[in-house]
Amino acid sequence: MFFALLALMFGPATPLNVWFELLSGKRNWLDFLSDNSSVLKLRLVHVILSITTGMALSAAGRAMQQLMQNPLADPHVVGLSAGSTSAVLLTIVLFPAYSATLLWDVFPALWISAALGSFIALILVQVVFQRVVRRWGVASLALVGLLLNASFSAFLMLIFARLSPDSLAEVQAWTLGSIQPHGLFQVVLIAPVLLLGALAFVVLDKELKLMSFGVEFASSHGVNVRRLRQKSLVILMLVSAAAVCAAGSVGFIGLLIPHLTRRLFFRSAWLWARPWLNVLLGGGFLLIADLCSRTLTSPLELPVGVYTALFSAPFLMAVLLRKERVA
Amino acid sequence: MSVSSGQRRVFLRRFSVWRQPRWILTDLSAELYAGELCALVGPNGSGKSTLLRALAGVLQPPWQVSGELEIAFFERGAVFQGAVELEMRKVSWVAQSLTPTDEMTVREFIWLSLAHSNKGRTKSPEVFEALPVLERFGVGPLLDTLISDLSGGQWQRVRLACGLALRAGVFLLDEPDTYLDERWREVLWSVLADLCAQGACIIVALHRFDDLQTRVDRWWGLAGGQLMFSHQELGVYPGALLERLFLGKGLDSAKRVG
Repeated sequence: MFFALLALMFGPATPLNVWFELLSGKRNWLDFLSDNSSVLKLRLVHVILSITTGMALSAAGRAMQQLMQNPLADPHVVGLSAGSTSAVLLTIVLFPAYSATLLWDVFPALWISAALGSFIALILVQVVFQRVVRRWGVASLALVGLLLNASFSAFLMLIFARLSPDSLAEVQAWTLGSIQPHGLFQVVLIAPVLLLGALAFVVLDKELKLMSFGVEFASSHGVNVRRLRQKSLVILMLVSAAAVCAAGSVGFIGLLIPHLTRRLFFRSAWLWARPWLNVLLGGGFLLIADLCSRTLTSPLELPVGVYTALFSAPFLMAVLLRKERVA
Repeated sequence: MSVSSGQRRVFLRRFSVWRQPRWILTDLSAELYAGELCALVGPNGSGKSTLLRALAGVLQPPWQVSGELEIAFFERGAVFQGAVELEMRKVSWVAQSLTPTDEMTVREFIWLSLAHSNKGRTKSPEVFEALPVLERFGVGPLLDTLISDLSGGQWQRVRLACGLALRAGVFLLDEPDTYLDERWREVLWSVLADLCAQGACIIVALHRFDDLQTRVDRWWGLAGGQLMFSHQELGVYPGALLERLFLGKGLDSAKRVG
């Protein structure tokens, strides 16, 4: 809450005068709410999108790790985000009307293509991973993800070449992961999907946790494995597409937050709270990262993905090192 | 259904399991009755684990099963029930090994594996921890330990206790005495005997069985995916058959599967 307020307050342009105007009656609340360019409103969009995206991505990361019995799984690592990003940019290039900038008025179209993109990536990962996992072990997921990501980023480069220089900068920032508020429309369309997705994974957490012991263990404990898989994959697809639409291809959250939650709240007392904590931590983390991206280098706004990577990489390195020691 | 000896619990006829590119189990026919403790023995790779998984009903595609398999549904006595009202299930299966990907304590694992059978009626893990069978396996002092910090034997005990605490009619244990020292092995066999006395039916895949001659009621010998013997008289130790099974002598039929 504190950070959310902070995020509303700070940015390249201070909104305090707006508050004063509102509170002193100089400006009408109604006007303010219907005014799309209002700084405060843009910031509100920022806050909502960053919280919900963080929540959804950390829930998705945890779910994927449990579903695939693999600590490396995450929508970003396996290439779902890259798939969505590519699909969105492909749409922009194919339909030049969109290409002036990321025109979010045609949002539903982009959203659908993002979903398709993540769906294709998901299928590719599933098919390839299923085949290589027996030979190469769990680490092969990272390998498959690496290859998928490499192919998608090569594809992105080809698309970049077709973009006008104006939109190129914005698009590049977006592919690194940056929250670009384009009005309340975006929030209304995306935030509920992200929120519901996160919630769905929290509800499914018990079954997913049984699944983390392996398919046969789960099924011997009464989990309908097929149904659980189908449900999770659909939610994953929708969530990663929505996250890409909200914040571009922002990485590391789905990897960092679940591992952090595991490290911090492994005691049994946190048993039921853990999926919730995971989600809340994810929302808070992206909110703070977004706040940093808008303030630390003000007036220049760096992509939020820069900060998530900056925070995450050392921690994940530490996790890996600790695992090594135990083994 | 009341618990009485002589009721058929497990029934297999021409039961086979296929997995690309070959049959793993072929034409198994066998029966098991209430209160019987059955040892499933055979050389490495003979299909013991596969048979147990098939009986537990956990085989997923690309595994395929054919033939008849019946597991009767029946009520077991309440000696191990404690305060929990667990849902009755047909089988409880304890796999050969299990590796957690999540960081979790023993307490959480117990809750996770038992609460699902409880249809979420109780949320308090203490109820499950009070189950007598957990006490028999000495799980109490381990409750707050992380699974990753357990020794092989401790983890095995926790898993066995959870599997045997379930309210099932048929128990399938895949090499349950791996990692167990003599003391806990003794505990295991006495718990199994108690379960049988209540009318449960237990199939145990084994490698070490020379000291179990009097404890096992029935012996199933598996080689090359085929049941070599299963119908000998109850409680009789088929010494000669077992010898042949492991030496591979006189088992011409096994070659058919090759």
